[in-house]
Amino acid sequence: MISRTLFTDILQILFLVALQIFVLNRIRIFGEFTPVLYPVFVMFYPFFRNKFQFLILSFLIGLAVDAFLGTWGINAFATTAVAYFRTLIFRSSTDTTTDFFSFSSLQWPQFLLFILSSIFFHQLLIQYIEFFKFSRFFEIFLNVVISSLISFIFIVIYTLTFKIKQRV
Amino acid sequence: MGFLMRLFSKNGLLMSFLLLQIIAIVLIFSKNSMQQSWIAAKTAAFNSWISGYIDQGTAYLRLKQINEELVTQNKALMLELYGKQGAKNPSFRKVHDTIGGGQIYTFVDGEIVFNSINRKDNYFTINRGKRDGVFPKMGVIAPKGIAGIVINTTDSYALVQSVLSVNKIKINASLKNSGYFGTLTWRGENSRLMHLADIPKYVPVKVGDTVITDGKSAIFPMGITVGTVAGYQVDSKTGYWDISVELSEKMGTLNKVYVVKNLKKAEVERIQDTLQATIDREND
Repeated sequence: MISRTLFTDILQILFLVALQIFVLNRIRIFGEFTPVLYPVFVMFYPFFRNKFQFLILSFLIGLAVDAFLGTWGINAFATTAVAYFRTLIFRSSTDTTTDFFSFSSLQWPQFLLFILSSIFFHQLLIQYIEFFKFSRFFEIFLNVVISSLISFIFIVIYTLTFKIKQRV
Repeated sequence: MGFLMRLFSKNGLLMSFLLLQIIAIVLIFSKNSMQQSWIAAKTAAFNSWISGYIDQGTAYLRLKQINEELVTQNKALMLELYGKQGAKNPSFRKVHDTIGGGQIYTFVDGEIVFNSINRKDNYFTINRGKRDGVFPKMGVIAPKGIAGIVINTTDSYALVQSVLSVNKIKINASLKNSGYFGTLTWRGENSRLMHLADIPKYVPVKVGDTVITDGKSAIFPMGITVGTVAGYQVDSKTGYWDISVELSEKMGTLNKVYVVKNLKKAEVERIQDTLQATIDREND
């Protein structure tokens, strides 16, 4: 197992942003939905590391995606929010009440629920800020649900590929 | 400053989270067009909301001055609207005949200023009068058919007896195809239908035949369209045809009319008077 440092974090950010921008954003499922994968960095960042560094790196990965998409600040806002509330999401989607977590000790259903609620929260923030129209509330909500589900599938594939659950 | 330092050291993570979110929000509202326009609209709305109250206050203080200005303006507008002669001068249209007897009819164009179609005897008023050469007993025609006969005039207006009059109107009209003439009257039931009587039973009539003015009365020129035959039956009392004629002009929507001016009317009347005189002399 490679020990994670700031340098490997930045490498991982670069990899995820490149994957998101150059591969996933060109996919259009049902003609309009794009899978979102880069929040896996935030979701599976080790719990015991420096929290300030974690927040700033989350902000940076969001900002990097924003820079390519031209949606300045929207992804950064959502990603930082997910990073800050990650502990809360984790606690509410699992039964644990302790502050120290590891994914390998989790049951699969709880693990999947954590992924789903994180990506849903992320998409909720992004889409409502991006469209910015409460008159189209239900339309946007449907959009959020569908793109969360699609992204969820991609994230599960990612975790299986890199054996995240066992390693983190 | 000490307060800020203490706040930050106690809730460092929350503070840095909020700081990052504020940066993101600033970016969102300064770089994205949708959010920019939203914030511009909100600012404008707030601005007008505030300045609306301020304007109300200042407007109240200026009410007296505004009132005076309005009265002055009103006066000027009323002078403009009512003070002047509203009607345009008529343009005379000339009809040349080729018979050599010179011109018989001229026309004065006018507009209807008041109209009625739902009474037993209907009238309308046009904006031409004595000053324009309109006098009683002149015919009035509309673009698509006959309209009425002038019965009274003032300097600039004329009162016209509409063809839709039960007792007051009898017009000589003929069938265009056969040339037989009869009397056109209105019975008051439908503003589109008149009745042509006094045409003998042996004259062939078809639905759709054109009915035109006859030209024997010196009021209407010959050949002005009246309407088309809508139906016919034998009048049991007189033994003549009773033909219903659908007027080609809708009297209810009439606007532009022409007054027919017969230049030879005095002459015709003079010769008809001599006839009357002859009959009187023979009877003596």
